[in-house]
Amino acid sequence: MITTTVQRWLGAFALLVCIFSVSPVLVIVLESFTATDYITFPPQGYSFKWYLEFAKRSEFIDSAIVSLVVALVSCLISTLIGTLVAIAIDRKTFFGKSFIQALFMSPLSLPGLIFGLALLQFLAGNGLPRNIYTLTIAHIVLTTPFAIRFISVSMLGIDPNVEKAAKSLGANGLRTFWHVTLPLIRPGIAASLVFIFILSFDEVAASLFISSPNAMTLPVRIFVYIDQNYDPLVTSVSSLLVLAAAIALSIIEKTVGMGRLFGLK
Amino acid sequence: MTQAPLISNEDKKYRGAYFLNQYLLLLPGLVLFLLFFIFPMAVLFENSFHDFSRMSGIIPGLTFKNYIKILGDSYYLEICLRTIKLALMTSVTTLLIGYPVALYLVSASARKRAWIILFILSPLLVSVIVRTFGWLILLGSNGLLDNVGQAFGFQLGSMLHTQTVVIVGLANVLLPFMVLSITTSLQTIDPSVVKAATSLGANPWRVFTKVIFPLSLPGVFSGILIVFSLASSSFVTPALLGGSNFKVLSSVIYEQAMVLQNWPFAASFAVTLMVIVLGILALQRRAIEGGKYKVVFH
Repeated sequence: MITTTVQRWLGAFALLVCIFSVSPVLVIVLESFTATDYITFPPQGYSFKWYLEFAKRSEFIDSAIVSLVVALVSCLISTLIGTLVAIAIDRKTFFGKSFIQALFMSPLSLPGLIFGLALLQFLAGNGLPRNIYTLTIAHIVLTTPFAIRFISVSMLGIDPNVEKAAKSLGANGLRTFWHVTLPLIRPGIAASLVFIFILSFDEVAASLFISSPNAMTLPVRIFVYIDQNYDPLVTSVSSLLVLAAAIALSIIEKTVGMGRLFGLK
Repeated sequence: MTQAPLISNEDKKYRGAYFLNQYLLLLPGLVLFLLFFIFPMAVLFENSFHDFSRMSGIIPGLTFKNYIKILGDSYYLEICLRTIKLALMTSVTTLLIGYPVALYLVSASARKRAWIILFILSPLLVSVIVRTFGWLILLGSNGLLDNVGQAFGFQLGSMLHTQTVVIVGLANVLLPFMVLSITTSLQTIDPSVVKAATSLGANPWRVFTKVIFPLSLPGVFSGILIVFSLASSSFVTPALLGGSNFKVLSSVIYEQAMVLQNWPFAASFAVTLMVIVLGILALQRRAIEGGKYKVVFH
């Protein structure tokens, strides 16, 4: 398709772009080991003092727990709701199907910032508090479309005859689902859980509006800190987030593969 | 006990009996979306037509004051235009960087391909905050660029708070979407079409400009629109890299809502931003059928 000389140039360019792509992440990890009290790059000296400092800051630990709980609960509930909706959309006929489908997909097109502001004004207008529950609800709404997509894609891959066979052999609807459909969509469910966990854990735009002093996610806490201070403390927190992403990456690579997760052949 | 039919030609019956009633399946999702998606959006829309005063807060009633202020006041209009310009320039930047990478991806060996996909896509797993913070360290005062400059005798100081830096940061964050979009499009090109062009005597440049590039245009367009819509609504990157010198729509929304507590004005800004983003996405749907992340699930 392309001559070898051009191919080589393209390869060199792609390598540079790869460096551009990962450099901010690498820089954070390197800087987190700096021995200085201020940010300077390349880092001077090596120490773990910013990790120890982080361990002393209870507000960051609290936020990490909030983020973990919110991400865990939302990936479970979103995937559950998403599976139910996907079954209805892929296996049933009902009135207003395309409208309902569009409704469930609409959070994808809406900037998180606008949804966060809308939810904030709605909560305040109805005297509802901003806490870990409302934060989780916000994340569930934002991530449900992804769950529907993941489950739908794996439902489409099922040969309908397999389900028909189970039914013709006398299994009722629930048994067919439990013993035939569910095992077949398991990869989709796994991908949905992992992807939504990451998405929720990293979400910041909507969380900025729904977070409150007693329930603030980790990315929001980091944002607020960087907005007011400029020191290496958050490099250690950020590096831990990079570590978490690396773990997620290895899970994805072992199961679906990064390229496949994002639809590349 | 009813006897299950041996040969089921009755698709409808099969669908109907399959696991619960469709409305029961939809119920949890619909309740969630009605309560916490449709109602909030309605409240936002309604508030954008309300008045506000520092003393009494939100004043109910219908007024177009907020929208007139956004479009009539040169300060706010400039912010709208700056946001559009930023999103446009980010799209072009990611296209220029992303296209050669996508071209390489479809022609490289499987091993190299896997590595590049890994490097380009894995930053998506790291929070935008972290990636933007990395650029602060690279470009801020005492950062890499500043220190290297000093070593050569230049006083660069902080490079932050300029449009260029915000574009660099946004391009870095949004590049994966552009590469994904173009690559998916390039992957659908039938290799025999390229072979045909070559065998008919077209040189590689002609093959690219007359065959490969035109056939990849759907991916290019969808990439531009995805990056545009994400860039125009991005908040973290302009806020941290642009600071108060470089305000965009999203930073005004945040400031009006969370600092000045003027929710009606923030709401009308949000509606304005929504019109821009949804307008762009409508264009995209027309061109390719899909939403923001459609590319993810081709």
